[in-house]
Amino acid sequence: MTGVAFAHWSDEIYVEGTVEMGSCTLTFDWREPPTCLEFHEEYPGGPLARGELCGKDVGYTECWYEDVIEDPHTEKWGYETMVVEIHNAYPCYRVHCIFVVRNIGTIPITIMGYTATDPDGMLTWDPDLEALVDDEGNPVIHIWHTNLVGEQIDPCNTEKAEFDFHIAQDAEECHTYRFEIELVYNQWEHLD
Amino acid sequence: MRKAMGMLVSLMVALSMTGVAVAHWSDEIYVEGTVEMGSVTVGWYSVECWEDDEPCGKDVGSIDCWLEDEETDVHTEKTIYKTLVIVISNVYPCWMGHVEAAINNAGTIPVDLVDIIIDGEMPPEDEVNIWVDCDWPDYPQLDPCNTAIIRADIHVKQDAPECTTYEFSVTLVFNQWGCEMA
Repeated sequence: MTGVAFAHWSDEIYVEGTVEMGSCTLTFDWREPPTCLEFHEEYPGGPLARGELCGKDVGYTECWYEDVIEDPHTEKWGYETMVVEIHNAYPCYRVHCIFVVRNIGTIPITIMGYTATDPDGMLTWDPDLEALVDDEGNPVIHIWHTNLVGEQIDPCNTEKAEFDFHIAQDAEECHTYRFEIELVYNQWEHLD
Repeated sequence: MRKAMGMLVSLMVALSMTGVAVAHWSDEIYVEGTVEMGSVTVGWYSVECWEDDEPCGKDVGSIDCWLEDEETDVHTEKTIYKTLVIVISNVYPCWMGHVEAAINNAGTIPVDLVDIIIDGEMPPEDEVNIWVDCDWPDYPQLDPCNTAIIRADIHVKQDAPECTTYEFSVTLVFNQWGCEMA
C-alpha cells in the first residue's frame, strides 16, 4: 500500500512571464522654446493689454529650458527645467510665460499640481492666495497657471500651458527673489 | 480547508486592488525663477541760488541753499539728496532771489509726481511772491536717468512785514509711474 502511494508519474507545464515596464516622462518640449509676454491692466481691474504701462520698456523677462533628459524607452528627449528670469521688476509688473510640455514616455500622465518654493527661504507658498508671500503673509509674487493642473497628456502628445507671474505691492525694492516651481505629474487617472 | 482557501483568495484580491490604487509612477519637472526688483529713488541732484544786485552795491539780504539727506540707489549707485534747504535772511521789499534745482530719477523705474504737500506758513502772495517755472518735458513723469529743472524767483514785496520769519516745507511725492490711476 505504501509503494502504491509513492509510485506515480509526474510532469510539469510552465508559464514563462515577461513584464516590460513602460515609462512615465514629461518634459518641456524642445520643439517650441518658451516665450514671455508682458501685460498690464488698461485700468485697475480692467482688461489686460500687451506691454508695459504707457508703452515704456522698464522690466524685462527671459526664459529658457535646460537640463536635458531622455526617456530610456522611446529615446526621445526634452528638458526637465524651465528657467524664468525677471529683471528690474516693480509692483504691477506682469509677465506670462508660455511653454509646451510633451509626454515623451509610454504611459499617459496627469498633471497633478504644482508647488512653489523659495530656495533662499524668504518667501513661502500660500496656495489660497496663489502667491509666494513674505513672513507677514503679504503676497510678493502671484503665480497663476493656465491649461496645466488636471490635464491628461498621452504619450507623444503635448500641452501648451502658461504660468503668469504678477509682482505684488509688497515686493521690496532692489531685492532679488528666487523661486522654484515643482510641477508634479502622475501616471494617468490618479487624481486622488 | 475550502473556507480557508476562500479567505486567502479574497485577501489576495483585496491586496491586489489596494496595490493598484496606491502604486503608481510619479515624477516632477521644474520651473526655476528669479525676480530681480528695480528701484524707485528720486531726489535733488543739484541746486544753485543767487540774488539780484542790491541797490548801491550793498550786500544786505542773502540767500543760501544746500542739499541734505544723501541717498544712494543700490542698483544704479547714483547719489541724490532727499532735502533741499533754502534760507533767505535779512531781506526787504524789492529784494529778489533765485533758486534753480534739479530733480533726478536715480532709480530704475519711471515715476510720476503725484502730490505736492506744503507744511508750515507760506508767505502771502502780496508779501512774498514766489514764481515757479519748470523745465520738465514729460511732466509729471520722470524716467530713470532723467532730470527735471525747477526754477523759483522769489520777490519780496512792499507789504512784507518787518522782522517776520516764514518757515515752511514742501514735499514732492512721487509714485511708480502709472499708479496715479489706482
